[in-house]
Amino acid sequence: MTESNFWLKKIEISVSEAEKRTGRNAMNMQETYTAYLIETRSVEHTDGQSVLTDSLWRRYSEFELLRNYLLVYYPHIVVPPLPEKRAEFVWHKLSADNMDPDFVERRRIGLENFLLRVASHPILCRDKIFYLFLTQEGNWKETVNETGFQLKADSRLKALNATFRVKNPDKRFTELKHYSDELQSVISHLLRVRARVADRLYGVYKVHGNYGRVFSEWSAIEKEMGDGLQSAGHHMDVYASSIDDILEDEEHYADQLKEYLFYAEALRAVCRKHELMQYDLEMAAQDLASKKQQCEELATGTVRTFSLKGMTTKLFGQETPEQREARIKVLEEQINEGEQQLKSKNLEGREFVKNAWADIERFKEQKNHDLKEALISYAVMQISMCKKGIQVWTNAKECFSKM
Amino acid sequence: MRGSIPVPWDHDLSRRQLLDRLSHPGAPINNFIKMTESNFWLKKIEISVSEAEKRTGRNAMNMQETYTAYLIETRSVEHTDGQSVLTDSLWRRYSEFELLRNYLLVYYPHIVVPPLPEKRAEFVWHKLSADNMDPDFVERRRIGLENFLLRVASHPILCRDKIFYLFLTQEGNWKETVNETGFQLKADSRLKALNATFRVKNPDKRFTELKHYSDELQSVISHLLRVRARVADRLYGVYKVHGNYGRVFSEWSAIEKEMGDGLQSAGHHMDVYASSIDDILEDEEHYADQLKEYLFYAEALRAVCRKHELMQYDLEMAAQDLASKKQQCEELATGTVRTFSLKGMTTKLFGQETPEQREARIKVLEEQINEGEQQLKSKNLEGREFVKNAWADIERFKEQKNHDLKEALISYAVMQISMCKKGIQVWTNAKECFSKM
Repeated sequence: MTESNFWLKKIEISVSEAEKRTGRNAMNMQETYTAYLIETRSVEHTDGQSVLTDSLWRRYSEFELLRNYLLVYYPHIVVPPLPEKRAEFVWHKLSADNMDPDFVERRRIGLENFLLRVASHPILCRDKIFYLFLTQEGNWKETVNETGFQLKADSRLKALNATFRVKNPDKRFTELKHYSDELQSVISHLLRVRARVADRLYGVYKVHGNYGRVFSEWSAIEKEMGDGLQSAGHHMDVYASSIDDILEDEEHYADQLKEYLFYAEALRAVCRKHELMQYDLEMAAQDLASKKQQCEELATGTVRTFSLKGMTTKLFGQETPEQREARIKVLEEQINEGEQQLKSKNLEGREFVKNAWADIERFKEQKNHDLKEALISYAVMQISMCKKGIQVWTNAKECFSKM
Repeated sequence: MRGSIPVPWDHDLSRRQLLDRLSHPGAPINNFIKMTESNFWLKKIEISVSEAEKRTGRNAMNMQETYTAYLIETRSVEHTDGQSVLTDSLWRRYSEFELLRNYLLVYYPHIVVPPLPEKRAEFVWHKLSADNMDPDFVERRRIGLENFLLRVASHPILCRDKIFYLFLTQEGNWKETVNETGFQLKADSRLKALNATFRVKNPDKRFTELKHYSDELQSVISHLLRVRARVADRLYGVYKVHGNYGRVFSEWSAIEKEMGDGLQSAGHHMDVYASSIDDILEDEEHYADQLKEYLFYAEALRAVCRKHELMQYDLEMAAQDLASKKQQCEELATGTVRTFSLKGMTTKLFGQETPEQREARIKVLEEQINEGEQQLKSKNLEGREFVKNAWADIERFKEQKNHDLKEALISYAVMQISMCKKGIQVWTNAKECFSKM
């Protein structure tokens, strides 16, 4: 069982537990954090049994490290997002506390989802660092840092600069960037509406608990209707308390939407990389063109462009033919080098666009499928809620009829 | 009288309720023969308050006022062919209904007199205004007034009242006719009634219990109405917020290619869902009105209890007075003065009275005692008659109440079930749209 045939067998990855830990952080201060147990099982083809092959604990920051590494080494891939670091779009019941058991549980599911996404990606799943993340507990952080990926990362400033100054980005990426902005906006709205619906629905159900109390009160003063009212009151209480489970289930639907909220950012990252590469290319081409022009001017003797050499020539006298030959030679070398670089940058750029677009198509299909499933799940949940409502009120009606 | 009801609005719940109410046991069987007021009730009668109209007129202080007039139509239904013929049609305003009810309260104190719909809107949830001129309020009041007339018409005793008959048939001069009965003079003063409540020594235990029950019923129904208003308000919020879903899906459909149509259609279903709440809550108002009627019925119950307390107190006072006179008589006859009296005092101060004077006084007292004994006998009889008749009507009322409240609760449950079914429909449609994406 080695890395290469790790993926030959069917692999099951799960983040099965979450545990509170205390330890010392980088500044040697005590801190509390949550550790997650990652279990990997290989499934034998023949009998379908699964054997536990690896099991280790990771904390959220290690997941972040893994993802940042993937972002640097696979800039043409839409890298799956991590679940949110802090709870957002909460409705009143949930606290925004990272230690809250419900939040930890939902994060556990989110982290498992992240690993499954990476493991099912045709390119990312083959990454060695990812393999080690699942199999090598100690020293993994050092191994990742040794790749020197942080040095390779494009600086934010550089990326921002490129976004504003690039002249001819591929139109498809520009459209994609707009789309990801709009998708993020729409999903944010959707999540806000969903939180509001959950909140009001909670209110409606809980107020039915009041019905339970009133019916109970009423049953105390009636002779013939007493039993019926008491039973009906009981059904109202059942109805009122059913909302807690319903809304817990409904959180999962919200989490599915949130994943795509964060995927929008991953899309934008790919677009930014393209802009950076394109800008780099444009700068290199511009530099080459300028050098060629300089060379030409030196060769013909005309000075059409302003240059420091031209200035000094004017001030301190013409240079000798030997000096000029030397300079032309240097420039010609630089031009050769530049043309090679431009050729390879061009190639790189086209490769990037091709690969990126392939992954984007894959992502689009995945997105359409997942969001469709999420919406269907939400509709199914609403239908199930209505059915439960029918059940409760039919029971209440029975109680009333028997009075 | 057995009255079939023309349904002024097409609402299955209310129709069933009204029909049930009138086919309820306790409705009288008619024995009248002559065709006039007396056999008004022989034919099947349909009473409806079919219209409401804004009017302006001058009030008692000759100032301009706006009020609403209600059209009361009475139809007799031919037995043979079931056709209904309009026999009477007149306009009344709310104050005339009040006058009718006050009259009935005075002349039938042993009856639980049906209540009128509320004068001003209470227990409103946010959508309704508390304005008496509001069309929804006027409409609900129209229904309530019709309900009141049907209740009276289906009551075995009240339906035979002449003033009620004239209310339905004689437009002009009716107010004068009612006032001529002098019923306002017969009415017990509030102060007298309050006094009796506190001082009566031996009221019939059943009435005391009934009074407690009516207090508790009123309290419970108030709570119920408050909870119902709160549920309606939050339900309204939930449905309307689904309109936001409609907007977001619409927004989303604009940026998607493959999913665009599905999202657009789903958004449409969300909008339909959001707007469906208005009709639902309008229907739900009727359920609230049915509860409110019994809130007001509690007061009618208490009125009967108060009358009993008054009569009992009157009886106790008369008995006390008689006992005191008898004692006085005895003292005069035997010459012993055990009780303090003004005569005793003056006798001490001014000298004994003559035997003739004493005889005269004994004679007067004996007459008073006779009279008193007669009165006490008749008051006792009256009291027992009252208790008997009142209790009969209370039993009738209890059955009616149990039946009506049970029906109202069943209607509410049915409405909730229907709401859930509509929800299933909308979300199934939305699910279809999503599946087709």
